[in-house]
Amino acid sequence: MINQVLLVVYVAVIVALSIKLRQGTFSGFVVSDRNVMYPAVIGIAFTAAYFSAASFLGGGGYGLIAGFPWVIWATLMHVAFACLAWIMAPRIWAMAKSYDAKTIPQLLERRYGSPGGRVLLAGIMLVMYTVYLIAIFKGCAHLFEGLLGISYIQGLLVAVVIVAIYYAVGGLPAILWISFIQGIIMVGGAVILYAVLLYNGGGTEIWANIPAAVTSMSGDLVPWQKTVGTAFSISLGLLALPDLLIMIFSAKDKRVVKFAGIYSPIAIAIYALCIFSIGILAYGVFSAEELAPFIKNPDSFVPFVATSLLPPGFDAIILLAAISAAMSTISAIVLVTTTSLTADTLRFLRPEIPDDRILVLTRVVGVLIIAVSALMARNVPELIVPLVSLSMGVIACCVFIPLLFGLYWDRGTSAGFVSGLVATFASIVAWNFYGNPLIHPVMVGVVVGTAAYLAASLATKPPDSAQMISVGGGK
Amino acid sequence: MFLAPTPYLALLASMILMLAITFFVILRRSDD
Repeated sequence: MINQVLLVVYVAVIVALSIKLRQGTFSGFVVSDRNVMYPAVIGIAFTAAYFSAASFLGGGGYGLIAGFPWVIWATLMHVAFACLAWIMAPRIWAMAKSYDAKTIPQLLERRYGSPGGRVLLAGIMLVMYTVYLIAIFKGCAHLFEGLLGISYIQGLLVAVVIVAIYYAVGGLPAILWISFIQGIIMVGGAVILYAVLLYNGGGTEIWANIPAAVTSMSGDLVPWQKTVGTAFSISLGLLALPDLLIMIFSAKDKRVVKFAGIYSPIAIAIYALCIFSIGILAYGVFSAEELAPFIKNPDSFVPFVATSLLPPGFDAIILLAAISAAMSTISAIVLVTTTSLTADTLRFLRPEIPDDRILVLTRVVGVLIIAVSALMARNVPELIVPLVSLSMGVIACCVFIPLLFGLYWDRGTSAGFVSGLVATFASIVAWNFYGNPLIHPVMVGVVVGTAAYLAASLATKPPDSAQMISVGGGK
Repeated sequence: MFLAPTPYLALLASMILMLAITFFVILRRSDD
């Protein structure tokens, strides 16, 4: 009963916020008219959108399989990339504002004068984000299944309806505020899980009960190179995922971005440390026999910890935290995936379509994308982490290279942008099928993509400096 | 008392260091 009540309150808050924040213009719907004045909202929403149910369930459970190297590398890289992302953020905000860019492909198009590159990137985003969405919908549906005792398909349906409402009514402002609340629930849930494991393991004594093979940094369970690669490719998303960058675009001024850069890395550090540690801490609380089933299916491990260690009612908060993690990511991704189709691709083909028409399409197509990916989630592979890590890694890598060089290097050209995209995408896909499995495909993508970007930029005529808008050094 | 394995303590220390450096860089920038 308490679970149902919690869910009703949760959904009521979401619906009320969406109606209060309903949007009538395209600019309001996609970048909140660049008027968000609260750094905490942007910082925490960024964190919530980044961490999905895959982090809450998969990331929490993966420590069981990969042991200490996962905890150390995943946490370290998340904090490092979060710090770098927010050091770059004011510059990204300034560039988006000076180019009046409302989507990431549009920002890069204007930086490089490359409509072709914009459509190519939009296409990559559309395909890869849909793969990612399917994985998160699957996780989300399982959580509703656990929370409400309904079937998987019914769980999917609940997730679809909630996200579709707040996406279509409120656009980015609703996504930001709801993600802000979801982010607080997520960090709270992660801290509760961490604390309850430590408490049940006898405080810091817990470490003495964890087997040496689990705390070994040499990767006795999974080769450490694989773990480093997975951690790298997931956390790279913090630097360049369009669903996160769009939140930076929405800030009213540089001061807001600056202070969001305090809230976000702190939230990411706390959440990452707590959630990624769960897998190894569990070895200090549960016996090997109790943990054995979750080695095969780590995604159901976090709900198991919650139900076995927390009093009734509190375990529902953990499930709600995981649902929040899923929905905040889904909503932000649906927005950028839809605009890649409507504002980027359709606008390229039919430039004469007015903004209000694009807005209607962005609402309708978004709901369609939600429905299609949920339909495809009816039957997907068991483990979430590898699937997600590759799809988000591809997008992050494709955006990261032209964004970083676009911000700090004037010599990058349209040819460099397009070649970088093609080389990144092709090398990741090829390495995934034919390369050495110890080296993560996204790491190969970063190197090959950067080389192609630099080579093609230097081989072509420098861009006309009159067309370049200076974004200034941190100004 | 057994605190935590060395890599975990090193992780905590490096997290705090990274956050401190980031806040220092972010906050000493001018707003304009």
